[in-house]
Amino acid sequence: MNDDITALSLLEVAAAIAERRLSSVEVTRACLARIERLQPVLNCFITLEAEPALAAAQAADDALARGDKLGPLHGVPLAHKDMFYRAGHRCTGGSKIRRDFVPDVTATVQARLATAGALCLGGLNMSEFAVGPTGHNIHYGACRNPWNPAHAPGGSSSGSGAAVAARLVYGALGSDTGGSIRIPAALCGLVGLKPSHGRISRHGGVPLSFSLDCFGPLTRTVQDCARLTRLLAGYDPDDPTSSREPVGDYEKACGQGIEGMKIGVPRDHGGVEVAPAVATAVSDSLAVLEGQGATIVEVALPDQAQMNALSTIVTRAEGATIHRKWLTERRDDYSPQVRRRMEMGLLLPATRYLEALNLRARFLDAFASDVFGRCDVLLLPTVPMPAPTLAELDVGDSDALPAMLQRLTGFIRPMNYLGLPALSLPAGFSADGLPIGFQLVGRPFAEASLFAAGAAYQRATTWHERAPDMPAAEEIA
Amino acid sequence: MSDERTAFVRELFRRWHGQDLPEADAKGLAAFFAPIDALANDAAASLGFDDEPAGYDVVVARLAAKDAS
Repeated sequence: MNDDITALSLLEVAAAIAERRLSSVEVTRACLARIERLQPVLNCFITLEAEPALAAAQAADDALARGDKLGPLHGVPLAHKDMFYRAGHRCTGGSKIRRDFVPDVTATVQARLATAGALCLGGLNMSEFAVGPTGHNIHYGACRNPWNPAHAPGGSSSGSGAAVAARLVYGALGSDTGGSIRIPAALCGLVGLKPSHGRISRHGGVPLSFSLDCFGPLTRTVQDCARLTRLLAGYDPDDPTSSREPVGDYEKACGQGIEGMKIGVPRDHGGVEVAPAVATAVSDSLAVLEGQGATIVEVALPDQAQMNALSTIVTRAEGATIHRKWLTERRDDYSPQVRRRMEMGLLLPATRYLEALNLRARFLDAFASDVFGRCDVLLLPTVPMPAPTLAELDVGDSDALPAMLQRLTGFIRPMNYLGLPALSLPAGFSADGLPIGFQLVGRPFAEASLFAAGAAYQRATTWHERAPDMPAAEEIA
Repeated sequence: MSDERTAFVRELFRRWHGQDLPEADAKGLAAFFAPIDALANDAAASLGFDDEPAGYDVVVARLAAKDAS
């Protein structure tokens, strides 16, 4: 019975609680039972707050019984990457340095979800300070992929990807500065949205790069993602960089067809090697979307390698600015890989950093002309291969680090540099049962178009309905 | 990576950040940094005299979809 409850989607469980077919306590107990069983295998949680969550679930049920006005996530258990502050709750950022940090403010994203009625079961595993695309964390242990625990879940929102895929919670927040939502979404078989820069407030989240940081949801379905995005999006006076662009009705967009929508595919992959299984899945996804009424057109992408490099320059300069004091005083408290990547920012002259910022307009203009001059939405692989093993990606700060980063993020980082919205979707499985994803990229603030296309795709496919075959309690014991 | 670059990285860390970077770390950092910096340097050749970071916001505003449905 518990596993039947956790198999529901976020929208399904929200409706079941609102209609009193299930209580929030029943749902929360089901999630906690599954977490207790699978945490030793997957290591998704850094901090689990079981008792407070059950108390909040009881309060949600009491409110329902009183006939109180309900939010659209009333009583639904979520958990988030351990980098979104809640006043009075520990928030580690996946780091040793902040192992005991307790903020006195609450992130706007946490507050908005709480206002909508959601519960928070705790802080999820993540790469140290949101730096790292694999899921390794030397301070809290590696998070593991539910589809095969020997494989990487992707990062840096590793726990978010693994927990939602393993049906431990119904949705989770992640952050995406260089792919940290989309990579775990792709490697764990989920939907993950990196929104337009400014679409969702960053107030109260652990910063990495103020020009590129984006927060967004990971879910099992596009519709779940649309609901969370609708609740999270919009101007926030506590984050002056958040946008005043109107927020679309993203759930309604999911019901719109894609008849006549032009979907662009790159003529070539700009030197990024794509595994045959991923190429096949992407090709199949185009056929599905064509079958839903879309028109496929070829486009030429601007120089991906340069945009990757410029994105790295911005992230490293801003990250090093944030971390400089600790890099100087507590250098050994960083993992070698995170330290290597952070310290790169300390080498950069201000002119190189500002050149990278100045070039964004030119690259975005070129991208808009070359890509969005010919199509409404661009489709390309998210990660060019199924999840490698954790062992294979455990390169530390060795000479293999640049190649590993390029391998995982070749199609990812340009969208961060340009600030474009990108939605990763499950698109199939490799021969050995590992998920494959593709991403849809839109114009700034065109999230509605991505949800329309993504929902159309999921209406015609069942990849998102598959769940990993997790071991039973007796097998773990 | 050349010893010269490694020495430069160590010297820069000493002067700018007051840190004595271990030789191996300086060597690794120099190797990690060089290709990225070279690509960024090439890209910078296309910059115009009047370019500034806010130019990005202008392009975003122009492109922003108004189709909130």
